[in-house]
Amino acid sequence: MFASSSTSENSNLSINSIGKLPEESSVLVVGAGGIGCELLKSLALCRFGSIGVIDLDTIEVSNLNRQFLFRREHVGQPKASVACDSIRRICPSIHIEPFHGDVLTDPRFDMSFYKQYDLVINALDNVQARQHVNRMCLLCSKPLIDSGSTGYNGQATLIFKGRTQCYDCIEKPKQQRTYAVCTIRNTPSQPIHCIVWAKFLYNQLFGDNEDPNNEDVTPDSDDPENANNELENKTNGHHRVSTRDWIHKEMEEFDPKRIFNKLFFDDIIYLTSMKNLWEKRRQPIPIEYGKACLVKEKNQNGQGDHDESTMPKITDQRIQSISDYVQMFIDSVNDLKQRSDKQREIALTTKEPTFLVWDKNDDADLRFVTASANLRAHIFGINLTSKFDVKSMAGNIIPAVATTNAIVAGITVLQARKILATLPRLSHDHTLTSINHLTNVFISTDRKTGGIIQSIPLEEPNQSCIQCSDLEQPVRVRINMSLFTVSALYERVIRNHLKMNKPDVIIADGSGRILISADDDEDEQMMLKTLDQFKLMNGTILLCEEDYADDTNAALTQNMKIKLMLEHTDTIKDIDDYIIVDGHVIGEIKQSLKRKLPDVDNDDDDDDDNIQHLDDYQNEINIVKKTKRLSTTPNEHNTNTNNNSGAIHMLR
Amino acid sequence: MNSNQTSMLSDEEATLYDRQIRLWGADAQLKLRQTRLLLINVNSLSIEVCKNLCLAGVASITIFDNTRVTSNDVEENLTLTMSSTEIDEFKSVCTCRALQLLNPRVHLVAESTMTIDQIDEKYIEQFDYVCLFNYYNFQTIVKLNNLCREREQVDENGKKQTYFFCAATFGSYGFAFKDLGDKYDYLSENSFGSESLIRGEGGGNESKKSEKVTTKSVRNYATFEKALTLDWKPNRRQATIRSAVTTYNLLRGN
Repeated sequence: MFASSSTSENSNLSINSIGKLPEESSVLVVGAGGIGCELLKSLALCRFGSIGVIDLDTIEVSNLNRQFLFRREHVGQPKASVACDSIRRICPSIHIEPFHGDVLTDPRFDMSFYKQYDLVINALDNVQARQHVNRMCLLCSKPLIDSGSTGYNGQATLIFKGRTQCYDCIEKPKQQRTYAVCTIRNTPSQPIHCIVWAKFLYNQLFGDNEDPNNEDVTPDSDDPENANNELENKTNGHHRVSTRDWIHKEMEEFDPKRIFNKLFFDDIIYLTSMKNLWEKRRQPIPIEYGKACLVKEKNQNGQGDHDESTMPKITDQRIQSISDYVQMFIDSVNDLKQRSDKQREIALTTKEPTFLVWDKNDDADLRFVTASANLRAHIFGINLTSKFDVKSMAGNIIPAVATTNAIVAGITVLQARKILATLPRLSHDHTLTSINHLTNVFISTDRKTGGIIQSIPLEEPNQSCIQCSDLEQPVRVRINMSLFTVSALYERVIRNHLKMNKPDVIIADGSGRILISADDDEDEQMMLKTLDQFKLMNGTILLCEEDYADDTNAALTQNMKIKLMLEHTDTIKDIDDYIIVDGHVIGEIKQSLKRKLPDVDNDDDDDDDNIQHLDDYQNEINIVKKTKRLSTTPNEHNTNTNNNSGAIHMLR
Repeated sequence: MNSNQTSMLSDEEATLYDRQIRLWGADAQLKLRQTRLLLINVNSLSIEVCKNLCLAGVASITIFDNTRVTSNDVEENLTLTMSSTEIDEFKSVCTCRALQLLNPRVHLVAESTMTIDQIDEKYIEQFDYVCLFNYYNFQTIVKLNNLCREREQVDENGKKQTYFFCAATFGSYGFAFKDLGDKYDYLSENSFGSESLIRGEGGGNESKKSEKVTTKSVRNYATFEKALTLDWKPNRRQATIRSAVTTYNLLRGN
């Protein structure tokens, strides 16, 4: 659709032109799945100069209906590599590089990595990764196109630091639904409650016993509706025992029939004793193993056999009889017990976990949840769910087709070309010249009238957005997180190097955790712990904040905030070593803070630094500092050169 | 391949098409499995469409093109299917070979000997859809469209009409046209009501599920010839159609 023109033919393009050609541009694509494959195809056919692809996944059979760069023989291989191979076959002259890793945690994908590209495009399927890439692009001032699709709908939205809303400006609705504990444990009324219960049961029986999030599945006598129950005192002893403990005892002499009777008979009897719950509800009817095997019909709610026209077209879409589900339960429990035992053995000699993790693509896992959920549903008079539908609900599957992704990818590339058209041709300043004509584009088939493609004007950033309203550059410190202690961070980096006095240190990852509080006397133990023990990831930002007295007026206090970005590297072997990347940033922050104070003596107290005051901090100028530096890259010792030739610094 | 009287999808199909079945349903997937298409002309647009149809799992696609791959085609390389080792081969043959890898279940046929003029009513009988992409001779389009209309027979699938699709792109403009016959019956599903989440204390709140209502509708389509005779003056408020009108007028100017 777009005729490609080689640069040599465009003689009227001068150095000062606005507008980069695809041939001159490099783009980073995060995600090589549904949208990713279509996107790579379009970018390659548009002759982009250089493409990078990140994806952590491997190829599955269910991908093949739309991720067309993959074939059946590729199942199990990393998506990023196979995608690049396929693209190279289509366009042999393309420069495309795969990265098989997690964009969230892989130390390769630091700020320097992102800075290599002119443009970043998200082709992701989860909020967390999108938020992370959003943060990184804001920090690096890179234009970002966030693309996505669900079923027949999709979007390609634009994110530019300071000019548009970022991904977090508007709070997204929570992805996962939550259900009240007693609904799951005591009074389910819908199939989904039974399915959630079944997944919890799986975790109780075969999953991680140490996980505190492991919900219990036995009746909850703390149910507020159960207050004042006169039978409280007459409880059967073993209901005081948590599922986990009961299972511990049970798994010694393993008997699936006994597990069946405990879950679907004994526990239900107990539930019925909580009379208050059943005043307005239909009481659950327990089923005992021996009798359940004989129940041939599907459900008392009239879910009978299908007639020809409504006959399910897929085996898994059938609803089976109760006796079928009883058998399914017993069989899957046996299969999973075997697998669980084997897993424990494997774990002794490898780094693998001792427990099983539920996988929607695993047949035994799916049969277990289907059987358990349907048996429970039957007990409570709830409609049964076919295995096909259980997989959707339990596995949080998002339906997807090739065409929606193709449309989204096409629009994304059009967006990309529009963005390139606003970039200065030869510099690496990615401040866009004009964005008035750019829009967010949505593909929606839900609309009653009009076309399915909508063009919506860009919106101004949210002033109180945590991510993008606070745009100071972070100070990047590179350390070995498994060696560097909290104490070293506080004393050597924050107090000694950044010259802060006694700031609070808050972890800015959304959790709001306080790492170090200036007020409390930190306990020695904590300070001696290494950073990796605090769930800090590569790229985590720490907010160091304190109030200090104004030089001129003792009554005033000023607030100093420095963002510290932690970058992990294994190459540092010394417990005390750290590297400051882009050290000039510290000077700027202090300078800009000073500028805010009126009539301040400009006597530098930064006596240890050779800091040049920079007007344009977007130039990559590294300044040699007096602190000890271990260089992991050859480029870091460049002296001050106002070098704006446009060469890309490859800090690797 | 045509007499798919089996009314079930195999386990293998269910796995392969899983994600799309969850979107459009198993019934739609079964109908796709019975669909036979004629795709005239190999070019970037038709290849893209063909790719999507193969992935979707149609019964067969006949790729109709009697031209050969030139070095220009390879240099331009605007499609996914032609490489430098295939110069002088028939485009239809290369395309079938490349796209077959996308889905071995689809029956791809290369028609490289016939010309468009030779297409007659008898030939069209074997197809459910006739598609023509990036072909700019409107007389031919009209002729093919009318051929599809004339086909009144009932075949073993019980269908009466061959559907006609054509589309083209020119620069940043494009159009898509479909003729599904004088009287086209279809079902549409609409949701009413809203679903409330259960977050209450103590549970027991029934949630209102969104009701899905299926309605039967009829649409009347016009032929390409007739469509181009239309005098289209949009309502001033229909801002979204302005750009479409520009394209339409460009077409008519042809």
